[in-house]
Amino acid sequence: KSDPPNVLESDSSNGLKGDPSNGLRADQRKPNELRRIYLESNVINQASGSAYVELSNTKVICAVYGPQAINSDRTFSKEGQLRCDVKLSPFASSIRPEQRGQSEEELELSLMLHQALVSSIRLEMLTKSTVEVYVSVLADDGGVLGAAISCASLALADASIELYDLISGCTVGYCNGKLNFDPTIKEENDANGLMTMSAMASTKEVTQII
Amino acid sequence: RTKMNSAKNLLNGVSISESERQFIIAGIEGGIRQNGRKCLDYRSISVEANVLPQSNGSSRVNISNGATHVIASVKLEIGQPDQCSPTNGKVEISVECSKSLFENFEDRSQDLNASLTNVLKKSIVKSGAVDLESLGIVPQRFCWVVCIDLLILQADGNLIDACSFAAYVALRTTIVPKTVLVEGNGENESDLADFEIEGELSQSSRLVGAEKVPICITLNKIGSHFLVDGSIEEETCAEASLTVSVSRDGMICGLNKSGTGSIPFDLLSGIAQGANGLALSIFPVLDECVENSVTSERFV
Repeated sequence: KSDPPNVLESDSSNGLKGDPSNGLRADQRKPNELRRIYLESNVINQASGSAYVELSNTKVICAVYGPQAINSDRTFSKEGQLRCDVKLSPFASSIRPEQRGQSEEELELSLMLHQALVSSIRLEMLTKSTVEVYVSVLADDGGVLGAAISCASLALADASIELYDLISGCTVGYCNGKLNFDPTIKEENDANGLMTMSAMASTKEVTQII
Repeated sequence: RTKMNSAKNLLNGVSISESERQFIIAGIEGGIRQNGRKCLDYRSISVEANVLPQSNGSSRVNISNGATHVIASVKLEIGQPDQCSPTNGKVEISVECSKSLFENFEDRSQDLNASLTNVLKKSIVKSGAVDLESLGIVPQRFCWVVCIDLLILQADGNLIDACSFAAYVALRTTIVPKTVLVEGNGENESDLADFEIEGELSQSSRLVGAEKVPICITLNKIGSHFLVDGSIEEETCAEASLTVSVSRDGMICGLNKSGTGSIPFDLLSGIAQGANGLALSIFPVLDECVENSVTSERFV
C-alpha cells in the first residue's frame, strides 16, 4: 500500500529513537533491513511507460517516452540513444533550493542514471530512435539514486522497450564500523561513507557503483 | 548476447575505426598494449611543483612527455564561512579543459568539465581530507576558501588520474599565510574582530591534512582485463571504467564508475585491491616531488 507522507512527524534529531543495545536503528530497523517498498507502474497515461517507487518516505516517479524518431539533423547512429533527465522537485528535500535550472546535483544524477540503465537496453533494436527517461524526485529521504534507477527500469519495461534484464539499485551507508542498508536521509548525512550500486540480477553484473 | 559499442569517444570527439578497435582488444587479450606495456603499467610520469608564482600552491603533471599535460593551481581566498559551520573554511575545485583540445570550435567541453569536476570533488572535497577547522580565521565572518583549479592542456587519456596527482602535489605544497587577529576599529559591533595577514614567508604554514588527500586510480575494462593509465584510444575501446580514490594509508575514499558497460560482481573487490597497490607505487613519486622540490620523474 502507498505510504502517505508523514507531514506531522515529530523531529527525532534530538536523540536516537532506536535502541543501540539491540542494534536497531532510529526507525526500529535492523542494520540489514530495507524499508518497505511500494511499486506501481502505468501511473502516467500520456507516457509510453511509467512507474512510481516509494521507499517509505523517498518517493520517485518516472516517465518514459519512446522509442521516438531522432531529429534528422543528427548524425546517423546504428544504435538507439538513451536520454535521461532527473529533476529534484523544489519540495523534495527539507531545504528549498534557490537556483533555477538544472543544478549540478541533477546533472550528476542524470549522468549516473544514464550509465546505470544503458547496458540493460537492447539499443541495437532501436536504430535511429531515441528513448527519453524523465525522473522526478517527489520526496527525498535517502536512497534517491537507487530508487530512481529501479523506477526508471520498471518504467522502461512498462513502455515495452526490449531489455536484457531489470536493474535494481540500492544504497548502503557505513557509520562507525557498521553497515546500514537503505539509509534514511539523516543516516546518509551522518554516515562516514555511502555507496550506491545497481546491478542486473540475471547476469550478476554491476551497472553502476558510486 | 552481442554488444555493439560505438567506438567513438563522445566527450573528446576521437573516433577510431572498427579494425583499430579489434586490434587493440585482441592485443590486450594477449596481454600486450599499444606501446608494449602490460595491463598494469603506467607510462612515464613527470611531476613538478611550484610552477605558478602567483598561486599559493601549484603543480604540473606530465604523462608520457606531454601526451597528457595538466596544471593545478591552489589559491587561497578570503570568504565567509557557512552558517552551519562558522569556524570552518571551504574547499572548492574546478576542472577546465583548454579550448585547444577540441578540433571544432563547438563548446563540447561542458560535459567533460562537469564530469571531471564531479569525480574530483567527490574524491578531494567530500572525502574531508583537508582539515576545514584550521582554515577558519574569524568565526562567522572570515575563513580561507581553498580554490583548486585544474587546467588540462593536452589529453591523451587518463585525465582523472593526472588531475588528482596534480591536485595532491599542489595541495601538499600550498603555503597558507599566517593570520593575526586584531581589534577592529569600526563603530558597529560586527567590526570588533578583524585580522591581518603576515607577509613573512617564514611565518606561513602548510595546509593541515593535505597528506590525507586521496589520489584517483582509473581502471578501464576491456574484455576481461583491466588497464591502468589508458591512452585515448584504449579509453575509447573500454566498455566501462572504474575510478578508485585511495589515500596514502590505503583507505578507499571513493568509487566512481563511468561508461556504459557493466562490471561483474566478483571482480569488484579485486579491482579495489589492485587500485590500492597501484596507488602505493605512485605516492612515492609524488611525495618526492613535494618534499625535495625537484621535478620527480618515474620512467617506464
